[in-house]
Amino acid sequence: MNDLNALLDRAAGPVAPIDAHADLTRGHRALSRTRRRRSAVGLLGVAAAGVAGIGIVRYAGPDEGPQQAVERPVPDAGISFLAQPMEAGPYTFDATPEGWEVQGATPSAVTIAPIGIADQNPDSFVGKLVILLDGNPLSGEQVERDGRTFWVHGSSGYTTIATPTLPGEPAGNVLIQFPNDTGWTRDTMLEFLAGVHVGSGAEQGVG
Amino acid sequence: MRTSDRDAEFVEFVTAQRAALVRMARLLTAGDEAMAEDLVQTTLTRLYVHWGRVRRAGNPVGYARTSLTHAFVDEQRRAHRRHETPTDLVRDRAATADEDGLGQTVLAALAGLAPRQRAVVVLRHWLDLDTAETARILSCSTGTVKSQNAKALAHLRTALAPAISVEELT
Repeated sequence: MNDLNALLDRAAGPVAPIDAHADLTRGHRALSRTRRRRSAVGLLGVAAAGVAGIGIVRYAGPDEGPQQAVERPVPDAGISFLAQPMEAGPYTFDATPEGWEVQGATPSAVTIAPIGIADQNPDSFVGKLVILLDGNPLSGEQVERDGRTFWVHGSSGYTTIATPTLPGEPAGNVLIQFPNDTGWTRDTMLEFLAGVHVGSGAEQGVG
Repeated sequence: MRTSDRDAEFVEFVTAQRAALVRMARLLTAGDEAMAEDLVQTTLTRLYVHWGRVRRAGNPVGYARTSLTHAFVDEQRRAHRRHETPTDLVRDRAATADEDGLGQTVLAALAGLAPRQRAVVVLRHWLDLDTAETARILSCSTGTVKSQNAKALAHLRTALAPAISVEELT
């Protein structure tokens, strides 16, 4: 009889001598890229704060930035929706954007990213959708859709859209930020955001 | 934290743990040396970038194992979308001290498992993690871990028989 642990240990085999400095060099390069992107996200956060009065950049604090090169599929025909609800923590959406998936969800924020994106850090927002429950005053261009009013603002390659939560939902505004170069348009995002429901577990972010 | 401190701690960690991560990756990839090395490099790069948070959490080995498993599962998903069949790839096998071929036989049996089943086997039976910790790493329920584990063990018993018999495991 063979113990499976011993068999696996045998299969794992020996390892060549370690060169930690090659890994360190790769780490240095990745961290440099991260800090450059963090600066870009910081500028975006400042722009978003000017509209919504919140500090989105708080998610990009020390050691919490994107980890590696962002690879995202080039959109060809925009965003289409699958007729199935999508759950993300306390938030639910009436439809699912095809080719996108929930990457992370907390009571105050949800990150939705293209399936297969290299950057799997849910605290990194580059190239992704971010949904927040926000308590700051609304501002921007007002758009009516399905009986709701949305406030739209675009800056630095990203667009933010916010709308008050519905009666019975936690008080505040649900705000979504999306990159303009990934196939999303204002109309598709309005369609997506019109179907958002904020559950009782949602909490306003601290801006 | 200062870069010199980060670098010193990271180098110390890599020196101590890289071999174990490579071996884990080798099992996850069923002996695909190139993919195993890629996964380890991705994991360690991620670890370095997040080193401050990792050290505050106080469990860099656990973070690395989780990150490596996720990198493996993600890579398998990407390969699936590209309609590749990783287990059919010609593998660059490591030159190992596997004179009787036992290690290669086990790797071949692992290659017949679905990626997440393979991950369950590695986490549960090589790293000796319990069901709850395995479920946490794989972001699934303990029930899923148990069912995947049962299917995986059944496959391994069949694939390894009659040359190798494996002790009954649950």
